[in-house]
Amino acid sequence: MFRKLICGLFVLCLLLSASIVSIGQGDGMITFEITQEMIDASPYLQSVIPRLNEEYDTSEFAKDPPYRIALAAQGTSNAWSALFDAHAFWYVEHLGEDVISELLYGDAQGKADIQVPQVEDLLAQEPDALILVPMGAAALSAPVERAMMQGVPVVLCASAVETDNFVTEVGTNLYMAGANLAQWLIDTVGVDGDFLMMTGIPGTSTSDIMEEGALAVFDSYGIEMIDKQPGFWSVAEGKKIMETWLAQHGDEVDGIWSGGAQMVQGMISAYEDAEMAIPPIAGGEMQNGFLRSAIEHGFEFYAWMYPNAMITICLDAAIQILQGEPTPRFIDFVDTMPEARPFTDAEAEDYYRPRWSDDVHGPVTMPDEKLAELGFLVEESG
Amino acid sequence: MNISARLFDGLSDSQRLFLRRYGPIFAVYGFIVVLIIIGATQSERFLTVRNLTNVARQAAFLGIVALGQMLVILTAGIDLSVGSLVKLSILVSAIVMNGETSNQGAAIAATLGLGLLVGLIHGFLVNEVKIAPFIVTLASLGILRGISLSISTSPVGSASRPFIMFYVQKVGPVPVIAIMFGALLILTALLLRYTAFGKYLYAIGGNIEVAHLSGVPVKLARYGVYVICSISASITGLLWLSRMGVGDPAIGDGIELQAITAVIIGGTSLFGGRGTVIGTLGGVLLLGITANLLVMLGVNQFIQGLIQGIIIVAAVALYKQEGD
Repeated sequence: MFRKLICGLFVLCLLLSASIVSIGQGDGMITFEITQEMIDASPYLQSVIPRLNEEYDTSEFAKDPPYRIALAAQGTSNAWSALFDAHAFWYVEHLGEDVISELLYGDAQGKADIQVPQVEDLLAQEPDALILVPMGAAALSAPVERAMMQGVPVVLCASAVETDNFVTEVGTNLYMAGANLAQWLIDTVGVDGDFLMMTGIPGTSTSDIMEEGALAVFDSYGIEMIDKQPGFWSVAEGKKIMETWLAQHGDEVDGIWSGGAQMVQGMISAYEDAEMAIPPIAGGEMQNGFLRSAIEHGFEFYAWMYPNAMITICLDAAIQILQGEPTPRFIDFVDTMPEARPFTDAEAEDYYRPRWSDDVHGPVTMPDEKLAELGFLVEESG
Repeated sequence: MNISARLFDGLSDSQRLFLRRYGPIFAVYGFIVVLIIIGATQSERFLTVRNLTNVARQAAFLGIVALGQMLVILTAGIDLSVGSLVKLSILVSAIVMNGETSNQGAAIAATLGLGLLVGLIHGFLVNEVKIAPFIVTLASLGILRGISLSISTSPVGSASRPFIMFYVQKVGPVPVIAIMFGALLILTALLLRYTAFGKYLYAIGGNIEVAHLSGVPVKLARYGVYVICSISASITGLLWLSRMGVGDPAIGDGIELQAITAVIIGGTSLFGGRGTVIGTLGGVLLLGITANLLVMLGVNQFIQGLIQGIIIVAAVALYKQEGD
């Protein structure tokens, strides 16, 4: 009896740990194991893990279509967000006016202090639901709570806030994404390597949580970075910082962790100018310019995905809520979009699209005609 | 013959004077009416109580800073540091309050005290060290921003629950924050119209040498305006804390330019000596309604900068006509 109990507990522990490790960005080749110590140290994991198995009873929001949905977006400040918006407008058109009659839109220009009053402006129009791409986890927490207080269900899309008072979050486990990139780098270079780290925009949850996951892994091996700088998801900023790093550290650098592919493009350009060999880089994405450069230069990389097409999943979630159906409190886009999984340089050719312009982030779910309309398709040569 | 000369044909001298003095302000309010008509015809939710109270509350955030800025500009000065002071005020108030209701008084006192200190330093450097206000406050913009980001680059501290709820408090349908802004507008208007201090500001802005020779306490008045301006920035920092519940250093960048824009649109001369509270209110409302309307109509925010630029040029062109 006692042995059966032990066996049962062992199997239960295995299942639990498997469920933890498999949350988001864990379907690729690297799966870093999250320890209880890491969970205790991370408010993000403490928020996400319990929500994995929770559903929100949305019956209070149920109403007949068509719906008026508000989208407080990052705004067209770069190609990722431009395609995010394009996917949103295309998908609303694709669903038809009998499902979504109006998409109220707010463009935050990537700034929390613009987004906070904008959310107030959107809520003043009494939408049926609010989809929010938070430009600051802390700054947008109170506005999210006010929306819920007003009776407007909130879907967080692509980024998180610090309150749990929303209906659902669409994204992926960013902590795991950052951790997996770090684990690949250590596996590829070795624990004795000298590493650099370039993060996205400080203060945004996407950047901060990935960094947190990566540092947890580096710390667990006792690895200290040579340097860590924010690259603001910018090619220019990435190149500028890399030039300084190359001047300071030269060929000491064994590997680089990056929070986004745009910055890697800048790094590649800096290495090219310095005529130096590019070390392994963890932090590519399915971004066509990055993939083109990576194929040309032939260095080792590990890429993850953060598809702008996830807005279609966010819109589906909003509709599901307004139909009164129970809704998971955390929706991992990998479950709906299996192609959005991590990959390495060995598969670079499979993900590169010669017809896409350099700034397209995949996977894209819109038809090619839409991409052409937006100027994201290039003329085929020959 | 310029445009104003043609417009004023056939009018008496007093009518011309009235139009020259208040014409641009009428133009600003006329433009606001046009925006309201566009909003009402394009969106059925523009003229709802919920949206109008929302606009009124949002106007307070820019309006309070703009009032302080207007007083400084009336004396031919400028304060470029208000955005950075708003940023630092949010952090100080959030850290001192730390989520505790019992700390509210201390947080408010510390934040207003910070505003007082910064204003006194600005006044000292302008009056005693004789550094131009532009240079003093430009340096201050960088210093206060640097201090803020040294404290934290990510959100810190928190507001107490009652302080967060203050943001949504209303008297009838009117938000308390909008009432507070209204009270400050009236106080500033009274200050300018009925007190010696108000008259000193116009005199200093008109001609500082003449004001000095006429016995106007120039130094004291300039200490006063920089202190009021900095305290108005600190009050705005407290309002932002109530709005977000945490001390976020991302807030504050660019507020100084928004405030200066509102003041200029409202007819205050950048060279000092001329300006009204009602004009500044017009500038604040024009910017606030434009931002609200663009969201209502789903227009890209980059267009807002374009529209603001056009409004500034149009306003300055009107005042130029008046000057001619």
